Amino acid sequence: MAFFPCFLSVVFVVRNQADGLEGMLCEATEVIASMVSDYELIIVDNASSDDSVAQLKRLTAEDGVANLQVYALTKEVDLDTASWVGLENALGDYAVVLDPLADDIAFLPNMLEHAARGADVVFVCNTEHTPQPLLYRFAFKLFHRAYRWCNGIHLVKDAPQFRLLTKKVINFILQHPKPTMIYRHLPATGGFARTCLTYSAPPKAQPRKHLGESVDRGIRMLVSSTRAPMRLVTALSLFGAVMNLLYCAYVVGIALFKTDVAAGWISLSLQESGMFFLISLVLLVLGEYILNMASFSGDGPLYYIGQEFTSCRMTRLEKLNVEDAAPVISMARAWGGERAS
Amino acid sequence: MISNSAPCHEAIIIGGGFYGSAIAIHLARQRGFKRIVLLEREGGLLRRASYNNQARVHNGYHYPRSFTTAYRSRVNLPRFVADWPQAVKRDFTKLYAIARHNSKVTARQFERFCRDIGAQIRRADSAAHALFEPRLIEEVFQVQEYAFDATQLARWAVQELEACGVQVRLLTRATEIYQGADHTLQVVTDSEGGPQRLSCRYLFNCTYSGSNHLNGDFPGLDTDLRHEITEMALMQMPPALEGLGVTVMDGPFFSMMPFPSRDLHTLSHVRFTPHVQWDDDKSINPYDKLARHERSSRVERMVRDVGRYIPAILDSRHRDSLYEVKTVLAKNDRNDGRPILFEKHASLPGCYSVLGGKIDNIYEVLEKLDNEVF
Repeated sequence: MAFFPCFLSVVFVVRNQADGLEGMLCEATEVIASMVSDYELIIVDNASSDDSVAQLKRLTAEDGVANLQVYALTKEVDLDTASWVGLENALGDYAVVLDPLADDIAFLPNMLEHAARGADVVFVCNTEHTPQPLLYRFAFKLFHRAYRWCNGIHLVKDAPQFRLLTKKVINFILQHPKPTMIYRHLPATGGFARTCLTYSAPPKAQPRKHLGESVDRGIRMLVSSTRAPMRLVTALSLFGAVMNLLYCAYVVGIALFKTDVAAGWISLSLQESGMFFLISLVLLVLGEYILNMASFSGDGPLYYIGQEFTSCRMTRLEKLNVEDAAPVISMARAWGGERAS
Repeated sequence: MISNSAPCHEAIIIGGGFYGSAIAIHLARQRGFKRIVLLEREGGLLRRASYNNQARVHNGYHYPRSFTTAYRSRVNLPRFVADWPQAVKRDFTKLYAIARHNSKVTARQFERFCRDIGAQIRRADSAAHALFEPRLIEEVFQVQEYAFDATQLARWAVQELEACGVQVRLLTRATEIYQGADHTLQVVTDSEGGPQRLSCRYLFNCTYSGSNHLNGDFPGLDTDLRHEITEMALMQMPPALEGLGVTVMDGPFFSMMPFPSRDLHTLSHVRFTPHVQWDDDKSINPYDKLARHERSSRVERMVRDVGRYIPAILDSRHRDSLYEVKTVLAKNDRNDGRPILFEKHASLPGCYSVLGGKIDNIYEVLEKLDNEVF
């Protein structure tokens, strides 16, 4: 097996898997230990209600599993947030996040190989999914359509949760004020060198997902990652305002050129369209301000410098400290020429 | 060679660390004891836990969750500086930084706490702030805290013990304690010359991690102890961090202090410094356990994590690591208080056990001793 001289952090997010923990960690150790020069297994316990924490305590003892780092959360959070808890504290040059129930650790060497070849982000997509109820599948499709329309990526295919990130990607995410919200999509949308791999393995039994929670999370993800829906709202407001203004003109036209108009129609119509024009205008302005505020509060750094290099030669250093009359004149000419053009 | 019929000593002190030496000197100077023997298993004084530690002279800042420990540190520091000026290093800047996330105190609470115990504190200047990553550090304070040089303390101990006429037996291990006749206590020692039996009127057990590992009639401590094998990394700091001590509070963070006796810095990390922990158990000898411990340094992990808070540390170089058994009272394992343990064994009149976690706590021990009637 290939050997990678690096420090690898592997983040496991677990919940109520007390029985499987030891086997899972031993398996992971077996895969990783001989492959990298140093590693750590970070276990984020997502507020298990069984005796997972006690098991983990036992496993960290002297005769337990080596290189464990455990973070036990007090309250259950979504998978992305829990993954981020581990990533934020990861020490490795590379960090891998996996959900032991859904993802296969045996695929790790493959991921490392791509990382060693220069990928900053390696995504791995399992083509097989746990079956979910019809309504969930429908909402799932709808969300991903909407997300793709807004952000240009399909979250499941382009930014799956089983992933390897280099330290620099983690550091970039850390610079954002709300890292947990952007953690899911930024590695894919941040412009880093990324590879997307697929494999097919039946996932282990996974708990049923709740539609209500998923909808809530989906809406938050949509709202936090894109301005498109809000822009749609402001565009509609603008449309409403313009249409009401046109309607006002229409009513005035009717009043001027028609005589058989029912009493009160003109004043009522003018009042209504005028009010709606004003309301639409107010909504438009408010919406734009909200958008602006959201961009201020949610935005991290706007750019990331992937690489930088400097020319070997510096002409400044090659210059002699000699006053020469001729070049000065030619320079003035060049400047003059520039100004003229 | 002393045999069974040898004259009775007035006091025997087991353990030639800082506490044992200071107690022997105190008994000779203040209480007029004449025949004192000090037993030490190493080849010199102050070689173990007195040397292998962070070399911090506490001034209270470290214990925002244990007011008594903090306040006593405040009281003891000036005395320590006055009594051992040659061993105290003061020419460095000490910074305490409060982590933004996962800290058990906030900057505001820490500042208030320091004012409450009367410890000097002020916001650090911008040059100091620039060393830290602002997203992870809430505030940086400059405080007054010193480091001590254990080799200087050892030199002092050797001179003083000699001046007081205390008999120091190096490479000698106490193994058993028995109740003798006429209110005497018998100590069986083991050294190159084979086992010997010494008798004395008063016995002081100052063996720190070995406190419970004496056989014979010794009843053991009433208080539960907890041990851990710790790694203190000795680092050559880059110029930006020379002359600086930094502690990041208060949780799974780290501390670096000048280590005067080697002219390096110690680096310790709450997450990585303890390698193994266990509750004190008669069947596990801490010294043997340390000897068997595979000393695989965790310094790389420490530096990686510290580098997130203080990027400059990534340029430091690892020179060496000190491994030692650290012993605390089990009940203080969580609350961070570090009281000394002063136990008078009822079943063995005249026998005392003293265990302390901090060098400047010596004054508490001596005060307790002064209350004893010999």
